[in-house]
Parts: sequence; structure tokens; C-alpha cells
Amino acid sequence: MSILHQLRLRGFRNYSRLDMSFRPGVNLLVGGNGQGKTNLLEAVYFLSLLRSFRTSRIAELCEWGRSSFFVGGRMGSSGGAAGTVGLAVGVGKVRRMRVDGRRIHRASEFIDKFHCVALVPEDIHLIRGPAAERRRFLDILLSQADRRYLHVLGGYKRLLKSRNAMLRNSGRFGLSAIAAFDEQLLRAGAALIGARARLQERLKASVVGEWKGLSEGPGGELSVEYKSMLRQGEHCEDSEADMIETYRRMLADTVDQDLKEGWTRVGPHRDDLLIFLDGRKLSAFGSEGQCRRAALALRLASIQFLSRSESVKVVVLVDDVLGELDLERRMRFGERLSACAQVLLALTEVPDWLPRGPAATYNVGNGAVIRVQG
Amino acid sequence: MQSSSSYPEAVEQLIAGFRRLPGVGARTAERLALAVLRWTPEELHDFGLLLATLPERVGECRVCGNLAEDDLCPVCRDPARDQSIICVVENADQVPVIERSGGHRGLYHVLGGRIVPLDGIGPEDLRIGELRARLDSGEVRELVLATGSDIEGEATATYLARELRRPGLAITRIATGIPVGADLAFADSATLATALNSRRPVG
Repeated sequence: MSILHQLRLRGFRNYSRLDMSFRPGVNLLVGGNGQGKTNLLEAVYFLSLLRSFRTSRIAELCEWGRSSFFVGGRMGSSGGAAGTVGLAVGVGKVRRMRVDGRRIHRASEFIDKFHCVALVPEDIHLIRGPAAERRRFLDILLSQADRRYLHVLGGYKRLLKSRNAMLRNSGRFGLSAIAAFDEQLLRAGAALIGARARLQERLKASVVGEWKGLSEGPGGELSVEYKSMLRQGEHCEDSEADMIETYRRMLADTVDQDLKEGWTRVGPHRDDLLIFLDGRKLSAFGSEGQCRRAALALRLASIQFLSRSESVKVVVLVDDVLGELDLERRMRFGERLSACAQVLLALTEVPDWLPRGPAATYNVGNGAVIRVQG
Repeated sequence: MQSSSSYPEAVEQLIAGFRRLPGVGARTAERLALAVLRWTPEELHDFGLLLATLPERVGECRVCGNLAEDDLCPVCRDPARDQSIICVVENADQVPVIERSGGHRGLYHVLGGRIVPLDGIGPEDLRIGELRARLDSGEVRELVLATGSDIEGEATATYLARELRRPGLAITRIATGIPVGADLAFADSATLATALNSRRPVG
């Protein structure tokens, strides 16, 4: 669990060739729009999660005219470098993953190497977007915290796809084959719901404070509620065995309808994380500014969640999320960032709201990065 | 694609043939082909005949579906085997593996695959009817389900256990867990979790 010391890019977005190093603490990336600040953050994010916060099409990450790229990093404790991670990616597909020079094959072996949380304009979709955005938010966070979650999630997805395939071809498979797969589906699904419900408790506790720090005046109270049709109301203490029984009953009750329509209507793939401001649904009633600040509060709360153990260091990527904050809020936000193990902060100019000077400052322009301080 | 067009067409075809084998890449296929080229005509003829007559000489055992040169496979023909226990496996290549372990003295039943909804493979594509018929004969007291430990293997085992349940028949599942002699530090978390779930009392 570590911070990023060095980054190496080959053919990634507008970087043909880049080797740069980062410091513990706040790293300031300063440059005009379109110079490649966000691309740097995106590369670091990709190194952590094998995905982008901007696009679901990996091919877009290739430099113009190329069909592959490479992203590599050297990670370690804040004292010194301890491990390397390398990723070679061909069009749309991760081709080679290496950890400490050793080839690995599963994303789940990769994902807990270092923890990134990105604070980016796209976070607005957490509030305004469909439920799938919020499920992904929960799933990524839980996978980062415990790779076994990713394993169970992968299993659940395959089981769900299998079930839907059987529903659409029930003449061939029949109810007893569906029931045989359901045994595993129930367990995987219940494990996901249980983990998400426990995460919700943590987020609920920390989002209140994070929201206050970002609000002017009283600002109201932000809260989150994990909504699953398998959890009635607030009964988070429901035992997993009880939930499995409820789940089994609901699957049995809906199987006729599922057969008719060819998809599964019960399970964690239909859940949502509801976000309320003073008891009202933010997505429906909130202003643009409130929604952006709520997304930021959720991200800050997720940093808290990941940092729950001393040994875990979180790398925070910040890009263009300050528009909604006045100077006092920015200074509070700056205090908050300064407490993180490592921050990569992209801005068009040197900020006046950091509590102390950054650990390092870089000028970013036209596919090149020059360290000017630190 | 590197060109190796310096070989005659027949050798190219031989190389392509070897490449179809598991674990054989371009370079190995080339070496195998060149090695075969050095064989005597008799050796080549015998080997070719072996391959050509394979379909007529090796088939499925009428009873269990294992590979067999006759009507019955060597296991089913062996009167010393325990007729009351049947070990159910997905494919015939798993039989010799279990045989080498020496842990099973009963008979086998080869399903010919497992239920894979995403590939459209359902229960009717497997030799489940044949298995049911064997159970109907009444001699079998235990069914050991040795399908894979992944999602489809587990589901196939669950399906069989439910479909074949009957009085007087014990249905068991092989355990999954830590390899014998292995250090816990080398076990992946999924294996370790399964092993912990299926722990048993000792002493």
C-alpha cells in the first residue's frame, strides 16, 4: 500500500515518451487547458484501477496514430520505492500486466497495489447519473479495500449472465438448472449486498462532516442510503443467512416473470445508493453547485474509508473541481488535501489556498513535464 | 506473422498440424516437424497408421463414457473395482489423474462436459441419463461429484445432487482447498476461503 514515486508513459494520449517522478505530499501540476494535465492523472488512475475516469473505451487512451500504449509506475512507502507495476495495453485490451517484473494475469492481483481516488468533474454523474454509476462507485471502493470483493463481484456477474442466458433458453436448461446456478448466485449476491451495506454505514458517518467542510453557512445535512430490494428499510443487522432466505424466496416468486422477459429482476445489480440533502433526493432537487459539492463530499468520504488503516496510503488525483468553492472553502479543502499521503493536483495557476507550499511543482505543456520546484 | 515460406508446402502443413496441439507454439512446431522428417519411412508409416486408425480403435466406454478400446474401458472391465462407488468427472482426461492419485477404488462416470449456459451447453448435452440408468440398477451406494470447482463445475454438481437424490444413495463432493504440502502463504485467497469454509473437526 503505497504512493507513486515514478511514472513512465509510452504513447499514452499526448505523451509519446514521459518519465517523471513524484514526491510524497502535494504535487502541483500547472499548465494551460489542453496541455495534458488531466492525461497525467488519467494515466495514474489507470495504473491503479485499469480503467479511465473519462472514457470506457481504452483505445482512446492511445496516442493518436498508435495502437498500443504502456503505463508503468514505481510505488513504495513514503520513505522509498519498493515495487513496480507495468501495464502494456493494445487496442482496447490489457496485454501484459507486471508486478515487480512478474507477469500477472488477473486484474484482482493488480487492484490493491496502490489506491487512487480521483476528484474530477465527471463525478457529477455520481449524483445525476443512473444507478449504475453509484453501484460502480461502491464496487470500485470495495474492490480497492478488499480484493476478495472483486473476486465475488466477477463471479456474480458471470452467474447473472448465465442465469439470463438460461432464462432465454429455458427449453434447453429448465428450472432445475436455473435453481442449481441460483445457489451460487444467492451467496455471491448476498455477500455483495452485505459488503455494500457495511460501506454505506461508513460513508454515512463521514459524508456529513465532509459536506459541512465544503458548504457555506448551515448548508443542510447530506446523507446516503444504500437501497436494495433485499434489505427491507434499515435492517442492516439482518444476518446473511436471513438475507439468503429472503433472496431465495424473491427469486422463486419472480422466476415466472423473469422467464417471460429473459432477465433477472432481483439482486444487487439493481441496487442504488440514494443521496439526500435534508431528506430530499439531491438528484431531483439539488442545484448544479450542490450536486458537484455532494460528489466531492462522497469522494472525500471514500478517501476516509480507504485510509481507515494506518498502513494504507491513498493517492488523491484532483482535477478542476474547485469551481463551486469560495476561498474559505478552498482553504479548508487544501487543509484536507495536505493531510493525504500524496496528492496530484492539476491547476491552471499556482493556488493561493494551500496551507503550505507544495512538495513539488511541475509545469505541464504540450506533452512534456518540467519540475520547477521541489 | 513471420514468414517461414522457405519450407516445402508439405512441411508447412506438418508444422501447422503440430501447432494445433496444446502448448505448442510456432518454434516448437517447427522443431517437431523437422524431427519427424528425420524418421525412417517405416517409423513414419507406423505413426501415421496409429493416428489414422484412432477413431475406429478408441471410443467411449458403453457404461461410463471413459476412453475405451473395446466396448468397456479398463476400469469397468476390472472386477476388483468397488462397484458401489461412482466418481463423476467432466471429461475422460480427468480419469487417469484420479487413477494416479490412488484415492478412488470405485468406478467412474464421464459426463462429457458441464453445464455452461454462456456456451449454450445444457444438462441434455451431458451423459446424465446414462448415469441415472446406472443408479437405477441399484448397486451404487455413493456418488462422488468431482466436477470442477469453478462456477459451472459447482453448479453442475449442485444440479446432479438434486436430480439424482434418492434413498440409499450418498452424494458427496470432493473437497477444495490447500494443496498437500503447500505453504499457506502461496494459496490464493479464493482457495483459502473455500478451504476455511470446508474445515472439519480434528482430534
